[in-house]
Amino acid sequence: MSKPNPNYKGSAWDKFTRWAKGTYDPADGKLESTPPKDRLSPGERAERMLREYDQSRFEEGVAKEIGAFQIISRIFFVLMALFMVVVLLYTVSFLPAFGDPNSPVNNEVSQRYIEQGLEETGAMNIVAGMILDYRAFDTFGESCVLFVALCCVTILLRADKKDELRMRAREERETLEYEPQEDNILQQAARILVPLIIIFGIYVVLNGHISPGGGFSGGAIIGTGLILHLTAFGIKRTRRFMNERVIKTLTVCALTFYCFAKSYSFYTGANGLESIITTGTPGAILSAGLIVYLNICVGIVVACTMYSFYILFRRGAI
Amino acid sequence: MLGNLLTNYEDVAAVILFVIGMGNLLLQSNLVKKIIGLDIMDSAVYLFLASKGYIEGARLPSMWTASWMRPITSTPSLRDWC
Repeated sequence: MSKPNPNYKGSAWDKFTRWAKGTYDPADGKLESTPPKDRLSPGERAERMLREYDQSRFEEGVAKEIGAFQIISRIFFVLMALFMVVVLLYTVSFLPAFGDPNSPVNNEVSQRYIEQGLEETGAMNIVAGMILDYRAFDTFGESCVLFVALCCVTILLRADKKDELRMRAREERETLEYEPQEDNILQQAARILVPLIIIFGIYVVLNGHISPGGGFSGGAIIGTGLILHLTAFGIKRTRRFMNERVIKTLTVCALTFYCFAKSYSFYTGANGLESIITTGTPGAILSAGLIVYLNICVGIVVACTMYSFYILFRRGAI
Repeated sequence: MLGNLLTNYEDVAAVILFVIGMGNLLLQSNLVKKIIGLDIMDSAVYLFLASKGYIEGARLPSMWTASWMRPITSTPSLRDWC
């Protein structure tokens, strides 16, 4: 008689006898493929299936109804385009000849801007003097366009109130998947770069009337610095100083200050009064009348808009 | 009736590009191709504006004779800026 094997339980003979008896299947769990791990809860999965079914039925209905309409509308669009070509060419035939020095567009306005721009506005950069002094109203319209675009995108991408909890849960899950979590190299580089970028942006904004630059380009640079901060340090740390309330306050205050400052200039200019704003010595930073302050306002609006567009399209909420 | 159509061919090209872009915007079904049509319309408008800038017989504004700069008596060279 041989001694009993102390390791009998998982040995080959044990498995063989159990297979012979039918209590053990060696291919169990090894041959069939496992289903993919689905991260959705059963409720979410059912909702997704329902939504796909609704979508396919809707598209079937749409295809049936507007199949003929699409053919007709294409013919109509081509005819409309041809009509537009004819009308526009008829208008172009009345324009002055190419390069005509006596055309009404080449009048003395541009000459006056170049020759007397420095004395009247005080800005060495006559382009800045033109867009923020002679034609400041147009720049005001441009800044308002940026603000309105920001409002529209916020409204379109806003989640409903009743979806708030689910949006927050999905946001947390997507943060774990999509954003680099505490990437050390990026953070060390951003620690040096973000202050430098923002300081350079502020320099470009403040020197808009002396050197090339101004509110729009400086604002874009500041916005880029903020986007880098968001990418490197995550949404929680950036939200401490750049959240929705801050952006709303900054943009509205900047545009309101622009409006009142330029209204004062319009009022004193139209009634022939003396305004308290002087042009100062050209070349100094606090010169050129209101141009520095208007540059700052425009820079703030542009920076907030750039940062908001990035974060709205990235995660749907500021 | 034709007027200046044959001499202003930049304007004619700008108008035709604009309408091509708009047709692209309306007739395409792919959304990215529609936005490319919008970009073509942008280029047409830039071409129209740039063609308005050509003035025959014009030169650059001469900065050497601007009144607020110091008068320059000799030919400017790099040494003046250092």
